[in-house]
Amino acid sequence: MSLKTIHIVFIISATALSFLLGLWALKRGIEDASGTMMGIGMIALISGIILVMYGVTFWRKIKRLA
Amino acid sequence: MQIPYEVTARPDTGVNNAKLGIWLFLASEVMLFGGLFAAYVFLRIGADAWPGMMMYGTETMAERADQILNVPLATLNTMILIASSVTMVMAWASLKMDRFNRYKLYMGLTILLALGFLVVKGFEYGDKFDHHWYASTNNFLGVYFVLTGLHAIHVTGGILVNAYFWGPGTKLWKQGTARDKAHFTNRIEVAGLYWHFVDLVWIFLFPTIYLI
Repeated sequence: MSLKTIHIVFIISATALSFLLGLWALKRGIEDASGTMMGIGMIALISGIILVMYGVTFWRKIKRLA
Repeated sequence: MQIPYEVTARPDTGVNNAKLGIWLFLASEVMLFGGLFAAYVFLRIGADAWPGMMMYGTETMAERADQILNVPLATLNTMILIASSVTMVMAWASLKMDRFNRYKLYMGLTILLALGFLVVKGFEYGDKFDHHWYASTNNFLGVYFVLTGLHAIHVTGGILVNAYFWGPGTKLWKQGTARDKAHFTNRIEVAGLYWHFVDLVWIFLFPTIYLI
């Protein structure tokens, strides 16, 4: 397995973590009325969206480096 | 005498020597971390309370891991490691495009981000020690310190390898022949595979220890 493939696997895992963390933190933020957790939840969800965009861009660009 | 399959792939394995070596090493690393994750699962299944009592002889009982561990700092560290894996792959891609100065920039950033991870981890550990929470306090903290400590050792190893390839290791590239450049690029790919493994371990470790 090449670095390209493992990077794609890593980005998929990191994206999944970002969305899970986002939902977890928002749930905690609501339960505990914690602004910090709400903030982390929002940042994690936005990071997840950025990672999806990055992953697609990386996939398209890296094909040229084969 | 030239060592065969340093640059080209062996016909029987389909990969060069270094890549075969790193995958064998990573397989042993999977077993190491896998064993410790399994220990965590069995300790947790067998525990009456998790994380459980945090101070002997007092009533300090923690019901959730995030009451003890610093989720905001761990989130920051997760973002740092994700960014470092991006800069690592960019460093390798820069060599593929024959842009050495770009490689130096991205590899330097990877090292700085990894150092940042260790600094944040140091603050996290310092906070635990201030509360007199050690690996011997209870099973939860034992698992936390062993798994995150072993991971931090791996990050340190990655910093040393990457620092070598940022500094003295670049001599191979500077020799200038196409074979030397291809050889150096393979080395960076192998270092990148190790770095991605270290980052992937954290991606599983963070939710397992801090969130669940």
